[in-house]
Amino acid sequence: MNRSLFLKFAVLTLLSAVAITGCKKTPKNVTPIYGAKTNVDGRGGPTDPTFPQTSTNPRTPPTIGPGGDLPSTTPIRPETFNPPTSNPPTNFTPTNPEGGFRSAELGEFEGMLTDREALRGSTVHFDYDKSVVKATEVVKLQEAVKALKANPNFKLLVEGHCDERGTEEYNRALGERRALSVRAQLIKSGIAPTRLRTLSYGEDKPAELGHTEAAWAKNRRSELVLLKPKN
Amino acid sequence: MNLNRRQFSAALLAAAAVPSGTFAADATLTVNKLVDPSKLIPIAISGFTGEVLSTLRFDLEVAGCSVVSADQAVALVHGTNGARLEGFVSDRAKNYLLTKGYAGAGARQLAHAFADDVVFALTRTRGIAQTRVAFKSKAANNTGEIFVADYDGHNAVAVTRDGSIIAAPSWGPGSQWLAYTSYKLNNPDIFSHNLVTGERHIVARYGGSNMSPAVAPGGRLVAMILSKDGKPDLYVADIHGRGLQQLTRSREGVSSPCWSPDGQWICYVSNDEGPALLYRIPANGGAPQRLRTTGVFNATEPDWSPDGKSIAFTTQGGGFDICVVPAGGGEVQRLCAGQDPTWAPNSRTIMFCKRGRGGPLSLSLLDVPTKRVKDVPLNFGNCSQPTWAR
Repeated sequence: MNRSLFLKFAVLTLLSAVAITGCKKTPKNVTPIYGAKTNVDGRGGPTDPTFPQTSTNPRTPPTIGPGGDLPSTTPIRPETFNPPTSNPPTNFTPTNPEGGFRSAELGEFEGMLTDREALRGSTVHFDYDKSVVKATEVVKLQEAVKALKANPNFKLLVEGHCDERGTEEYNRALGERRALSVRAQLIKSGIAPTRLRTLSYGEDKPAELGHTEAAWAKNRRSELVLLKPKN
Repeated sequence: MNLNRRQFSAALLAAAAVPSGTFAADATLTVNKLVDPSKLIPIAISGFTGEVLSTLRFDLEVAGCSVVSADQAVALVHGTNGARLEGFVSDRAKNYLLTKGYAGAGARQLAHAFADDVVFALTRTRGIAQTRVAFKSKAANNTGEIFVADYDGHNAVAVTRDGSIIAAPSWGPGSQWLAYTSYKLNNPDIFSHNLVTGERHIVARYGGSNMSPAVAPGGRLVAMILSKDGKPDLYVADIHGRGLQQLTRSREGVSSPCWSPDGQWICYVSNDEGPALLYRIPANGGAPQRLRTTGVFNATEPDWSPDGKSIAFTTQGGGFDICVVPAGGGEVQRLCAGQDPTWAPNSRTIMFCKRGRGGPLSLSLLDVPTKRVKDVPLNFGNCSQPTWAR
């Protein structure tokens, strides 16, 4: 009698233990990030972060836990975005007092196919530490303007790059300034700001390796990537 | 010269007050050598072997000591190491400043702990031998990961495994939060990363580039550069990305922010007057102020010292140089070739990135008063953008 009661109890404990621990499995090779819309494939990132005791003394940091693998919950916060919408097709007015155009949300460009080859000839080059699109370079953008006007559902990614002279984070901002001034040129030519996305790689993606003026001149550039809808 | 322990340490501290009478002439000389931080402290090391010896020697040299023979040293660092480390510091007349035993950790940790005590005995300042740094390591295909390591480059652990372009780690002073720019989601976005729990949050993923995060002292806020409104400008949000506030409205764009140690100010770089120059702005908004940097034509990547007194930055001429300027602006002091400085908690040592022409990027340590540089032995990839845990 006592024995069977004990057995029942043991089975119940075992079942509940399985139920609790079994449900907490995290899928392997997936790195969900708070705030992201979708889970992102990691490359075998650790999935079970350990929780060492917290140290209150900042001078003796505790054991370092591995990089984030937690369930995604909330979507990207679009909060402060007012993408310019009802602008006339050719004459755009800046959306902030400094004469810049607000960026469109990243979601507007999600899932589009990238074509790096189509506008290879439109790569714009810059002077050292400058973000001004030179008159000789402006003509290179005509092809991009043509492609965007002929295909109203196409969009464009403008990448900014720098040579290695300049500190890394200064260059990242400089690359963005280059991409933004190419974007401003395209807007001037009548392309809606909402169709243009900018991104800076700083000095992280040189077109040519080498430490000569010739290589640097090739690396100070803005590449145009055509974005096409999937269907 | 027969100094007792108390007299010896008092003499180390107070250069001006040289006691008369019992002190010989060479004792005065000894004292002066030790209290001037711009002079190397000659010490002799004996009794230690292997990894303990090399670790201890590295730590003490970074702290501004030079290892000489016993007859030229003002302080003798000696002891034994086995399972337990016994360490002593004395003057040449065997007056002891420090006698201590260390156990319960690996050889490197024991040596670091002893080194910190030696530094405190000699200079009355806290050592940095047990501190950690984070930095970026970049592979040949331009992707990289963030690593955390001891300040001397040992025990490096990767904290990201994203296989994407990554940049600008920033360790929030007094916190477990790291922030960095990652291209993992096909855009430069800012992530915050708790080093204890491993949890990550997206701080900024707006249209345009989201760059150069700087975590505030305490780890509650992040300053960063966003281009979502048409120009790279300075913004502040909390560590989860909430409550975003725009601080600058620049004509040409700004870059690389850092916090004052009291969290009241943010120092950053702006191109509004042409060349890249330093500015500061109240952290909760206000008018930017130009920071005078007399003697250089441009300044990027500032880092405010933990004692609040000076700002280290990079200037660029033919190459890169590490400089310091008083936090209120003023005359610039050029220290050595290198870029992207980060202050140690002692406000004396700087870690920076060295770029050999065509060679890989590597990390080095600079003792500011003596201008002595020691390389950090790291043997993987290009290492750059250090940030010191302080």
